[in-house]
Amino acid sequence: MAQTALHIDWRAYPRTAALDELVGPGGRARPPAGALLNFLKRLDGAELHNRRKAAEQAVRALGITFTVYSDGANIDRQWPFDIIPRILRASEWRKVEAGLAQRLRALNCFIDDVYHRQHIFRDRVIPAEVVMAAGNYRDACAGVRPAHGVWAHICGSDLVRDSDGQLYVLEDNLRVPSGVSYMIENRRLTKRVFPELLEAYQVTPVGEYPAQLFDTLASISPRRSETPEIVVLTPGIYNSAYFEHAFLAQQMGAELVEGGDLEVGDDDCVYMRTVRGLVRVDVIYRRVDDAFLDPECFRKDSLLGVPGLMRAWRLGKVAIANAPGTGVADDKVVYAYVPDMIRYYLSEEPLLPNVPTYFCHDPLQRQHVLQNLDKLVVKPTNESGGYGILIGPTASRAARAACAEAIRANPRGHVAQPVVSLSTAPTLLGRELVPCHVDLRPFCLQGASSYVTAGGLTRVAMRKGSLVVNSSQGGGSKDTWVVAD
Amino acid sequence: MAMLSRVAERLYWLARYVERAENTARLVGVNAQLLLDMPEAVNALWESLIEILGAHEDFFAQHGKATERSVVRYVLADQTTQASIASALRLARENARTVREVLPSEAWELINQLQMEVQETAEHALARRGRQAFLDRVVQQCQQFSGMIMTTMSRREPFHFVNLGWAVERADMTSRILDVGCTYAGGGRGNHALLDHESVLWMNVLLSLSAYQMYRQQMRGRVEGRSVVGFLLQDTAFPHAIACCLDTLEATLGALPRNGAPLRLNRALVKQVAGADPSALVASGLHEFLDQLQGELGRLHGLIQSTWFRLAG
Repeated sequence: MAQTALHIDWRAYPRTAALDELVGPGGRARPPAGALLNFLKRLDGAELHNRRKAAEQAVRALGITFTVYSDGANIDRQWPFDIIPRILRASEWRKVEAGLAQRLRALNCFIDDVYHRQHIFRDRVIPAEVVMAAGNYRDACAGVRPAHGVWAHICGSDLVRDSDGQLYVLEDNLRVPSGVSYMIENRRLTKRVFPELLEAYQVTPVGEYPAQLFDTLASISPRRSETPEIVVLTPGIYNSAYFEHAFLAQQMGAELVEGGDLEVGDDDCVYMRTVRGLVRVDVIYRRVDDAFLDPECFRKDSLLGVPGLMRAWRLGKVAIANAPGTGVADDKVVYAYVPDMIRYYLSEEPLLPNVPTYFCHDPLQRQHVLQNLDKLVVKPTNESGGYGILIGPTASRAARAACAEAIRANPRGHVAQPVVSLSTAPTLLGRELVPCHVDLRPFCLQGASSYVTAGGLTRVAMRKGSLVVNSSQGGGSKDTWVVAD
Repeated sequence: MAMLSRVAERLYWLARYVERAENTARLVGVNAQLLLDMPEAVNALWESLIEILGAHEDFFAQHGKATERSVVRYVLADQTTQASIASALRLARENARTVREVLPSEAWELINQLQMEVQETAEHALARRGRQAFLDRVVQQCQQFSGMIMTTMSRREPFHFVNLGWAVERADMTSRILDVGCTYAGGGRGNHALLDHESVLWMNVLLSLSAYQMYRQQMRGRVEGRSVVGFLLQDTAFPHAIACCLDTLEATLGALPRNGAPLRLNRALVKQVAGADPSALVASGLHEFLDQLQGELGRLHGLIQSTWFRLAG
């Protein structure tokens, strides 16, 4: 064999400007990664290769896929998984949990306020025009009172760790955040690939999420019933997250429905068409954007939605999670005000920091941004999936010029942030362990009570030096462990 | 938990399309063998195949004559017609894809692979050499699919809708193949090139439905019109016989909720088929009888649709 035993020498592990999650200075393990690094040290390149092969086989066998649209056709791709887990300390995680739950409580207060009396505008904490100009405010939602005053029941926040060691919130995804099924599947994969390691650590389980989601959804049911009828509404098989929709429906024992399976009756209740006749639906966990929910109310050409659904929801006949209109708080400008919201609504200090954000609609800040494009990250305010982002330090001169042009044309449409160096974690590329940049997407639930996942989905940029972690753009993922320290 | 109408409908069509692909492949294979025995009747035979598939109008809109070449291409590979094997499998796959979660996973994988294989190989199967192997492969894979469903799906609603699809499609195909048999029986649409070989042709009818062996075990004596018609119409034990399909429908419809209307129609059909006199029908009126039966099967399909898929009433 050409590839003979090539054991890992952590002292030779490359150092970068970024902080590494597992390996400290001099190749010493950061606690509690010691046992993991020692274990990996005993494996050679060939053995690591074999373990990865086993993981790839398991991905195929378990049918873990995501759908990519390319060349006019939809293709089911195998889920990209890096076998080396990322480890978080339980003491740190307890703070993050509290911080995320606090954030979501404040965001829900904000959304409820925006659709009612708008105190926060009148008290000049947030300028009304900043929120209204984003185009995410829905007139149809004004005055509606969802159960518990909660609009965003499911939130996926993106966290990054800067070189100072601090976890920052990069954004809050309040529309239809995805990835949680992969968090659960990644743990299943690790159980197959490194069973001996899981035995050595006390890793907090992640598999209870579907049960927590079910409880959250049941807690907003308009009918007081032991067994509320909960459905997952999917845009269908061609959606990139269809695997997750099917997974969550199956795990919750809920029906996976498309728009055409539902109808609104003369009594304004929502029904699904079954072979036993019409069955009333209490809660819709929708994975369809607002604009496609109800052709009577939003996009007339939508075939994904259910005519009359908004009427049923406004009358309180059905609960929708996340509630329509929630997107008003999912905007990169509104994000910058979340710490202020926490102080305003909860009279608490934020437990998790934001990344500092410059508003391009403010002339002074815009000036600063335009003069420092080579040092900043510029983001369109109303995009997701990592599209349209300029990473100043690595962008070409032409790309920076085009970005400056775009900012001047639409200042409200852009914000800028200092480059967060994004921590790294050892990742298997070829037969080598290489530091690759990671972020973290935990999921937070709020209904009658709150819940935060233990860890979340770690996304990893599987190209050396790359900062792009989105799976649609070549990113991968890691199992994420929360362990006692 | 109640089953979604959409899921039920897709399972029903999945079963129909797989059954159709299998039956069509067998039909083409048997015809191709037969024409080697009676070269003078070649074009009449290929035309009758188009007739059986109910594609007369569509086919002759594109082709002047039913030749081996034009018919085989049309029936095997033409993606623009619903009547082709390639289309049936593409539609089967589309239906299966959206109900993967209720199907045994191997069954989905099989249909997925078969569809891709047929798409790649159908063009090469147009020439005589290699054609039979292609058709055998389609029949075999469709049967394997059915076997998986039979042995791994619980006898609950999802299975019942697959079973309805199979039985309706099978009864429909048998009635079509029998109807073409009328031509041989001289029921007014006689074709002289074919009439000379009456018993060979009735044998062909049996072979097209994989019925020859079972017929031989059940019916003594020579292969002739009235006994073939009697067997394929009224035998309650042979799966492709119409009476047997109706019995399957009876039991399956009986297991489903809100089954009043389709069950009533099916019972009337059972009576009608059992009461028929094959000898008299072969002498005259077989075509009219089968025509009416096909109409009734169409109505049954409509009732299945309105009861469970469209939720009328």
